[in-house]
Amino acid sequence: MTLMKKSALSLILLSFLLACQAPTSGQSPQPQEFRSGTQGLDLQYVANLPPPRLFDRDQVNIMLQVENRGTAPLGGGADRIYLSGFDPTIITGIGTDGLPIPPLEPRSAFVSQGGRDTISWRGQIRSLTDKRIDKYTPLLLATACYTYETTATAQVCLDPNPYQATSQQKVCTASGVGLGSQGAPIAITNVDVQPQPQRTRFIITITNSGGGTVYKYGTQYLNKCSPYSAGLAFDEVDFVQLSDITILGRSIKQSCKGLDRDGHLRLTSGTGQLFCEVDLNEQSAFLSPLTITLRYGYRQSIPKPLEIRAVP
Amino acid sequence: MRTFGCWLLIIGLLIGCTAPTTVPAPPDIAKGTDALTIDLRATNPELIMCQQTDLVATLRNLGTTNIERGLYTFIIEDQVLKPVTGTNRKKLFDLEGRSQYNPQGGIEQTTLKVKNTALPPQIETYQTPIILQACYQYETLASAPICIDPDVLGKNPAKPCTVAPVSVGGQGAPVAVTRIEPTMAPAGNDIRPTFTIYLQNLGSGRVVSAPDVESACTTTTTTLNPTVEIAAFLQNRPLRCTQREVRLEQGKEARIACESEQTYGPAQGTFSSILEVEITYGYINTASQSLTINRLPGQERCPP
Repeated sequence: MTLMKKSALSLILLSFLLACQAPTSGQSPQPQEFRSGTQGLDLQYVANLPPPRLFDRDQVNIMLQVENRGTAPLGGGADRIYLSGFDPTIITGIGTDGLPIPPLEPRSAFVSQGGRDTISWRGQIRSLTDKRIDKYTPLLLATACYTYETTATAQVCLDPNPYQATSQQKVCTASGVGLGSQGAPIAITNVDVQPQPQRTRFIITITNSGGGTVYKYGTQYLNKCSPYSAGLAFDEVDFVQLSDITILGRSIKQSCKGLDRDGHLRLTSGTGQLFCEVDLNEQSAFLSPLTITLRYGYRQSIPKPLEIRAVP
Repeated sequence: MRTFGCWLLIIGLLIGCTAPTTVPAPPDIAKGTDALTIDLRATNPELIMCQQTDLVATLRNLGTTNIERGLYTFIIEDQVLKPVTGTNRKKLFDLEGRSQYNPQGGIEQTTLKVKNTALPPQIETYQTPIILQACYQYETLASAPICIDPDVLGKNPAKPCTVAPVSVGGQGAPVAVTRIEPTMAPAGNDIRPTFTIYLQNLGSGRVVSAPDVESACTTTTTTLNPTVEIAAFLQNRPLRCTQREVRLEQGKEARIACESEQTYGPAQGTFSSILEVEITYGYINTASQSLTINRLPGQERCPP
C-alpha cells in the first residue's frame, strides 16, 4: 500500500514536470505586427477633471491624458493642444496660446504601447450670483494640432513582360495589394499594380481614417490649426505631402502624378489617389517591397460639457 | 449574542451598500412669469345689510425682484361699503423676491374691515365687487446662452457652439425675453454680434412705465404708457440698442435690436457666452371678489 502511494505520487509529480516543461530553444518571441490602426494621438479627459458640475467663484482644473497610439513619433516642437469654447470673462486664467504636447514615443515592434502623458490647465470662475444668472453651460473643446507620418510597405509583383506568351511559370502575378491601416490617421488603403512592358504603374489610394482634419505639412499650417487663429484656408485643408516612395532601392517620387509643386496630394471626400511608375530592366517577374511615406498635419478635437452654477 | 452580531453585520452591510446619492443641484430661481400674486377673500362673502366684514388680501412675491415701495389700494363701492374707522384703504408695501436664500419669496397679509352702510331701496340682494389693485416697480434680469462665432466662413468644422436663435423661458418676472436671434455681422475681418431681442408681457397684470407706477394706483387717469426701459450687456459691456424704451402692448411681442460695440476676431475663437438683458417697468396687478349683501325682511336703512 505504501509502495502504491509512493508510485501514484511519483506519477503525479512526473506529469507536472512534463506539463511545465520549458519551451524548446528556437522558439524566441516574434515581433508583433504593429503597423495597424487608424489612430495617431488619443485624447481623453481625466475622470472628474473637470467634474460635470462646478460652482462659481471656484477654481477649475482641466486635465487631458494624451497617448501616442500610432507608429510615428509625436509631440515636442510646435505640436500643441488648445482649450476653447468658454467665455474668458467667466472662466479666467486659461490662455489662448495652448500648451505644448510633450514628446510621445510611438508604438513599435517591441513596444506595444506608445508614450503617454498628461496636460493640465487651471482657471478661475467668476461670480454668476452678482448678475442673478442661475447657470452657465459651456462646451469645452480641447483641440490637438500636430504633425504626423504614415509609412506603408506593400509587397508588389513587378512583371516586366506581362503579356509575354510563355509556358514558364511566373513567381508572382501583378495585382493590387490591400493594406488596411498603418497605425496612423491617414491610411494607405490600397496599391493597385498595373504592369506594362518594362514599366509598372502604381495607383495608390490614400484615405483619412482618423476622424479628424488633415492639412498641409509645415509649421505655418500648424499655427493656423489653432482655434484662435484665422483658420486654415480651403487650399490648405485635406492635403497630405508625399515624403518619399521607394522601390528597388530608389525613389520614384519624381514619376508621381497628382501632386502640387510642394509635393502635396489633395484628398476629396477624405480619399485621394496617387499615380507613380517605375521603369524595369529585369527580364522576369519578381516581388519587391514598395515603401510609401506621407507627412501631414492633423487636427482632432474632444468636447466636454460643463455646468457652472451660481451659489448664494 | 451571536444572533445579535449577525444582525449588526447585516445592518452594517445594508448601510454601507446603499446606492450612492448624488449631490442635488441648487434649484433654478430665475424661472416663471409671475411677480406679485394676490389672493383676496372676504371673511364673510354673504353679508347681512348693515353688517361688517373683513377683506383679507394675501400678497406673495413669486418673482425674483424685490418690491420696494409698492402701493396697494382697496377699491370698493362707496355707496354700499365704507371702511371701518382706523383701517386704511391704501398702503405702501415691501416684499422680498425669490432667491436662493428664500426660494418661496416674501409674503404679506393685509386686512380691511368694511361695513355695509346702505342698500338701494327695494333691493333685496345686492352684489358688489371688491378689488385690490397693487402697483409697483419691477425688473426683469434675463440671461440667455449665446454663441459668439467669428468663423463665419466655417473654416473650422469642430465648434463648441453654433449661432442659432435661442428661446428663453420665464425669468422670474412677468415681462419676459421670449427669444433672441443672434447675427454675426461682418465688420472688416472681424464680426460684430447683433441681437434681435423679443419681449412680451407674459404675466397676468398690466405694464406701465416706471415713472407712472405711483399715479396708476392713486389717480383715476386712464392714459398710462405701457413702456419698458431695456438695456443689454455682453461680457459686462453694454450693447448699443436701437431704442432704450419699448412700448409693450398687451398680448403682443415687441422687438428691439442691440449690437455689440466691441468686435470679435479669430483670435478670440468661437465660444459660448451669456447675453444679459435688464428690463425696468411698472406693473399693476388686480384681484377682485364679489360680496353679496342681503336685506333682512323689515330692514329699511342702517343706523348712523
